[in-house]
Order: sequence, then structure tokens, then C-alpha cells
Amino acid sequence: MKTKIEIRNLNVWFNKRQVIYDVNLKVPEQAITAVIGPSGCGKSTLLRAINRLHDLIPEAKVKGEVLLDGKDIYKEDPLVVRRKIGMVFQKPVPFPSMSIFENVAIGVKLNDLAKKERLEKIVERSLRMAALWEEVKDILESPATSLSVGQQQRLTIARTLALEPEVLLMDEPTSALDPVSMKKIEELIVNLKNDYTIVVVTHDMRQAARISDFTAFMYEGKIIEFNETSELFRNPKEEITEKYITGRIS
Amino acid sequence: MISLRVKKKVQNTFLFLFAFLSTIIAIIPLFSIIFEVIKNGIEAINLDFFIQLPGPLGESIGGIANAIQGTLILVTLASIIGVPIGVITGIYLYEYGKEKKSTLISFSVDLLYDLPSIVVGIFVYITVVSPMRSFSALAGALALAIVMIPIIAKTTEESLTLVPPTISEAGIALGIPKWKNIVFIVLNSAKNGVLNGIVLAVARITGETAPLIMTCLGSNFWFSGMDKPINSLTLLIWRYAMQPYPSAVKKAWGAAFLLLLVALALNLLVKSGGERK
Repeated sequence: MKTKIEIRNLNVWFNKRQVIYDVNLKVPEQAITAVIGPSGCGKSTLLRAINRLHDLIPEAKVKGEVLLDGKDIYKEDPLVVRRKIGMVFQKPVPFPSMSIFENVAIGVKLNDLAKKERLEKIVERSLRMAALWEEVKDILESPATSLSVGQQQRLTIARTLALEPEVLLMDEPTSALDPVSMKKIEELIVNLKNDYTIVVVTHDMRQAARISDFTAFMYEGKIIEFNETSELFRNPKEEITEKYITGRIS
Repeated sequence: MISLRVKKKVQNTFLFLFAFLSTIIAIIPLFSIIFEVIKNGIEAINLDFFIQLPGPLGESIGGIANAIQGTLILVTLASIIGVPIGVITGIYLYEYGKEKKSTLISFSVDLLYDLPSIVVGIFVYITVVSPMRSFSALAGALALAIVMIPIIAKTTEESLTLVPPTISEAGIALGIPKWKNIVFIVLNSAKNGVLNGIVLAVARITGETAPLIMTCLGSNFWFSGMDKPINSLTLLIWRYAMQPYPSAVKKAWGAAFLLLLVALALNLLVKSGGERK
């Protein structure tokens, strides 16, 4: 399987505190890679390093390489990197003053990526891919905040997809949702892997087992183990991985 | 036990009465002003009041049309100058105000906010009126814009601060350039608060008198150019209220009534805007 993202010797500090230690990881293309681990193990920090969100925080320092198709994203224009590598956050954050349509269109619009006439098509296509089109096609002009939380999360996924990214990063995308919405998003993620490389951070091991092809287990800022999901859950090589998946550490 | 409860009850009642009476004392002047203004102002209101020039002092004919026109022109022009500068200053304070090098700027905005408006008038008198050798509408509008800028800058900054950082982050994650993210995502999310700040600033400058005394002087005629003196409602009140002629004093009451209505309308607008949020 082809590697889409390769992380080499990645270290991240906040001020003097090191959060990520020498992480190496090869994320396969068109597959779902789950990153699991206890709270505070650095999995979100790792994810945010992949689309250069740490650039915004003056206290954060990143060392090492993140290669997208062999090219280091830290040597490219961060704006282009973030368009290619989309991010979905834990809590759905629709832009509150905008309609459903505008929420999906805004990234394309502000990046001058498409003419007005094409916008409608892009919005429809993105909402269809996010499995939201049928629910919102008649209320596109309503405020995005009028949607349920689960719908809002699919809306933010559509918003990310509108930019036609190559990689989708998801930071605990279902932890703020009810079980029904969670199931919908999980199905959606599985459908999306035909077109995208997906990295999902989750603290829900069962979710990782349900949807992912590969799983990385992180502990105290290091990747302890990385393997095919079924293999990692069935035959963990490291003792600490086994302890975590059997619930003896959390 | 019982005595303690009684004591607490007495204390409670006493404090409640004290707070209640203080409130009454505080709002008595407000209501008596409103009452007086309405009582005296309403008599002055008729069609001529809105469409005629004041006419010679002491005559009971005429209206205050040029003052209404002047206030509209001054406030519009001041807003055209003051709103963009105020909003952009607010954005700057939000984005860079916490950094050390901006301490001076945020301190200056605070200072400008508290500056007596007559000082603004003197400043514009020295920098604009004096070199131009004429009181002018332009000078008046500039003075009002200077009063407006810190109000808008501060309310804009506060509204932006209230936008959750996750919103800004979500915009950045879409690869949107920083300045576009601030304007189209963050500012857009804060637009109700920003608009409220603008309306409050408009209400404030509509009632300003001191900076205008030093800059546009007042006039008995229609607006005749940006470089000429211009009348305003507040200037008219200030001049006419001191006249010995009852007809002039009546016009001043009428103008005060009109200003009161404008202030009321603008405040209601802000209130309804606040509830919309």
C-alpha cells in the first residue's frame, strides 16, 4: 500500500514542555488510520502538526518532517498545505453568522478557487459526500446553527470536502455527538476512504476497531505500536498496548 | 435563633429599601428631563418646524430644518470617516493588542475614549479650522469622527474577543489567509456586536455639542459646502436656549425633543439587535 503521509522524527514542544517525542509514522493512502491513546498522550497535538495548526501558537515549536507525497509540508506554503490536508474538529464549529450554503462555500470562495457559477455544484457535491444533502437541500439559506449537532458536524465535514483535499484529519469527530449521529458519521468516514486518506484521532477504542484499517497507539508522546487494526487489537506486541486495550490503563 | 432570623429579615428589608430608594433617586432626574422635554418640545413641533429655516431671531415663524440637515450631514460624514478607522483599529487591538509593542496603542485608545470632547474640538480647531481660516462642516465631521473612533474600536475589539477561538481556528484550517479569516470569518461572526457599537457611537455623536462649537460654529442657512459653517441640532439648542425670545427657546425645546427621539430610537435598535443575537 502506498504511503500518503510520512512523519519523520517529529518532536513538538509547548514552551519548554515536550509533548511529542520522535514520532515516525507512515500513513497509507486511501485507508483509515486511527490514532488511539489515553487523554493527554499527544494524539491531537500530532494531528494538528499534520496541517500546521501549531503555526498559530507562538509557544509551539515543531521539529522534524511531515512528508505529503514525499514533500515536506513544513517547507511549503501553509495555506496550500491546509487546503490539501483538511481538518475536522471535535466540536462542530459551523460559522454562526452564515447560512448552510455559505458555510460550505466559504473556503472555496475566500481561497478564490472557483467562480460563482461553479459554487452551487461544489456545495451540492460536498453536501452529498457528507451525507447531508437530502436533509438540507431545501433549507440551504437557513442559518447553519439551526441544524442539530450531528448535522453540524457533517456540515463541517462538507465544508472541508468542498476544498477537494487529499487527506482528512479528524480530531475525535464523534465525541460530542449522540449515538445515532455517531453511527452516521462513522458510516460516512468509511465511505470517504475510497477517495481520501483519513486519519482519525479517537479515545474510543471500539470506534477505532469498527472503522479503521490501521491503528497507531500513542502513549506519553510516543507512538508505541502501529499495525493493521485487527492485528493490533488481537495480538498487541507491546505490554503497554495490551494494558491499554484491555482497559487496565486509561 | 428566632432573634437571628428577625435580625436578618430586618437587615434584608433595610438594604432592599435602601437600594430601591437609591434607584428612584437616580432615575428621578432622567424622568423629569424626559417629561420636561416632551412637554415643551411637542408644542414646537409642526410642519414648518421640519421644513423651514429658523428665520430672524425673535420671530415665531420658521423651523429648524437646516439644523436637521446639518446633523444628518455631520453624522453621515463622521461615520464615513470614523467607522472604517474604528473597526480596523478594533481588529488591530484584537489581533495584536495583547503584545507588548501594542501596549502604547491600546493605552492611547483608552485615553482617547476618556478624552473630554471639548478637547477634541480644540484639537480640530487648531489643526483644521485655524489653517483653513474658516469654521467648516468638514472640521465638525472630523471632530465627531475622532470622538467616534475609540468607541467603535473598543466595542469591535470586545465583540471579536467574544468569538470562540475555535471559529478562527476552523477558518485557518480551511487554508484561508489570515486577513481574510479575520474579516470574513471572525469579524463576520461578531457582526452584531460590531454593529451595536457603531449604532451607539452614532447615538453618542448625534448628541455631541462641545466639539462642534469649536469647529462648525452653527449657521442660519442651508448647508452651502464642506468648507462653510454648518448648523446642527445640538448647536441650535445651545444657542437658542440662551436667547431671551420665547420663540427661540421653544425651537430649542423642539430640537431637544427630536434629539431625544433619535437617541431613543438608536438605543432601541441596539437592544433589539442584542436580542436577535
